[in-house]
Amino acid sequence: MEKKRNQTNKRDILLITILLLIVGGLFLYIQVFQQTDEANYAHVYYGSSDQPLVTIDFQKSKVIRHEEQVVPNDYSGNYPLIDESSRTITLLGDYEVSGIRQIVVIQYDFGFKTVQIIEEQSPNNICSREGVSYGKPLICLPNRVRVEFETNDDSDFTI
Amino acid sequence: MKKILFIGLLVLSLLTLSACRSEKLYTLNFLDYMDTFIQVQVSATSESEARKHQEEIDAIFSMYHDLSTAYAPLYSDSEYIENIYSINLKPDQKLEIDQPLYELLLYAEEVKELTEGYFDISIGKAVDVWKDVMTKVEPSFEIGQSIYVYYYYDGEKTEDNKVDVNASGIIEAIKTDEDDDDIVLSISLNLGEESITIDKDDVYYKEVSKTVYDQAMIDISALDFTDNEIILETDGSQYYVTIHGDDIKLDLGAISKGYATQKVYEYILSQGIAYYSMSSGTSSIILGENKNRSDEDYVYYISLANPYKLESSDKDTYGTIKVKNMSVTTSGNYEQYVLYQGNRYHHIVSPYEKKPVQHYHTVTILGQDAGLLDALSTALFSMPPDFMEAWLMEHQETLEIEVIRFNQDLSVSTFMIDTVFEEH
Repeated sequence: MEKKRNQTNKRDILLITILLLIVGGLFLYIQVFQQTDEANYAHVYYGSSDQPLVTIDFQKSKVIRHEEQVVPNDYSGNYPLIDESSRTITLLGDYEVSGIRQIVVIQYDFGFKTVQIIEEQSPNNICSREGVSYGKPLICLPNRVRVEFETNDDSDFTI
Repeated sequence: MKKILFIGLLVLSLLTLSACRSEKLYTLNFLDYMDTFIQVQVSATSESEARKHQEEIDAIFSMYHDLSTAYAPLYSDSEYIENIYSINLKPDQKLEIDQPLYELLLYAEEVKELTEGYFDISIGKAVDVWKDVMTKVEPSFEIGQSIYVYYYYDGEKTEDNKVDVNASGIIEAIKTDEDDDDIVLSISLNLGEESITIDKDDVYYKEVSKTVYDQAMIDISALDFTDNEIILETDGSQYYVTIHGDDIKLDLGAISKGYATQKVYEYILSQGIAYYSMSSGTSSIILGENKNRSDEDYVYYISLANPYKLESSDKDTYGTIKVKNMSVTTSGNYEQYVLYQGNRYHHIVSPYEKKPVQHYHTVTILGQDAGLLDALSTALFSMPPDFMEAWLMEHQETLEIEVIRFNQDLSVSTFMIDTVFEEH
């Protein structure tokens, strides 16, 4: 009887240890995920999606194409177009001139870590008039193209 | 028995923890309303719950966009009676309108009274004059055009060679690259008494021409707002508006966005969501608690953008506030503007002077109601410093607002209650 109780005790301790490990592991997992240190990137988005089509990695000086931009069949071209020689990324915007959607051309600079909209059609050309951005998001409406920076400062919003 | 209870408790705590994990933050993006990129983050237990929030919020923004736009008529199959565009086409007529638009107009008129006329939705024609001026600067360079020079480097780009100019000059000559005419190497400018040559290292900004500026001044002096009147009537079930005035044109650009986000905020509160944030462009934020900063009482860090960043080496932001459960709104002259003789002209127009005034670069307001803050930041931006200070003495406590002002002379004035502003 005494022995059986001892065995039960050992099993309990084992179970508790496993449970504690899982709980501890979960805590650690959450902590690690919360404290991910962000590097210097600019992400290019189209539409209301939160998944970037392209990421400009300023630290490794490279451009990563994540996804193809979904465009209607009557538009030729494999967007986003990435041209490393002219350092541009071209997307198809939503703004139409004579019923034809117009392109948005984004130029990046690895050295200065900047992004600029160098070509777009829209009523007020707000995003191309914005000039070179060092960290401020570039929002092209009604083209529905945007570039947002990911930096490692601890600010949540800039207003 | 005790052990079973203990293990049971452990399992329960584990389950609770996983439940916490399952409440995720979802980001909802809206790009089709009020010419603004609106981003809402809400915590939800599932994607379908987040999608439900997205639909509800979309309906709110969509309604206020349709009702408040001054640029397009309602669609023929719209469920609404009139919008600002159609009201502007029918002055001196008593028009039936929908209750939400009636309430928005009533609110705008209340803020007009509160701000002693510094907020005025009836001066749309003056706003149009300056919006038009803002399109009159081309990025290319041509001889005869005007450039405002802040400073230039006489020789190499060193602090010793830096020469302050702060004056406008006329382009006399442009030197371009031999192989590519589009690449401008340097520009010679006539500053009146002397000529200087500027290049990419120098800090300058293209201006609108004197002709464009003078024409804008002629256009605004021809506008007469003295008889402007907005009459709002209701019998309890139907709502009406009548607009009078030779030059009346309603423009809700300075209030509709804030008002709509406030309605979204009320929806979020009604759903019992504690963790949320909402940003409209770079000018307005509504904050709940920050799920990612549990170690610091769930606050958000908000940086205030430096409106006088002339070159890349200048700092991006000039201060920080740490806040939660609050709205923050900024009106400023630095995002979209044109320069004329060193002054910035933009879309925030003083109802009294019918043009953008040069008191501050930004006015940031902290408070509870995003609709009120949106309108107030516009009004306060046009108030002269003495007037604003007297006005704040009278209203700050009742309205529970805090103000951070980046003045024209680059100094910062603060009117805080509890929030700490850290300048840097």
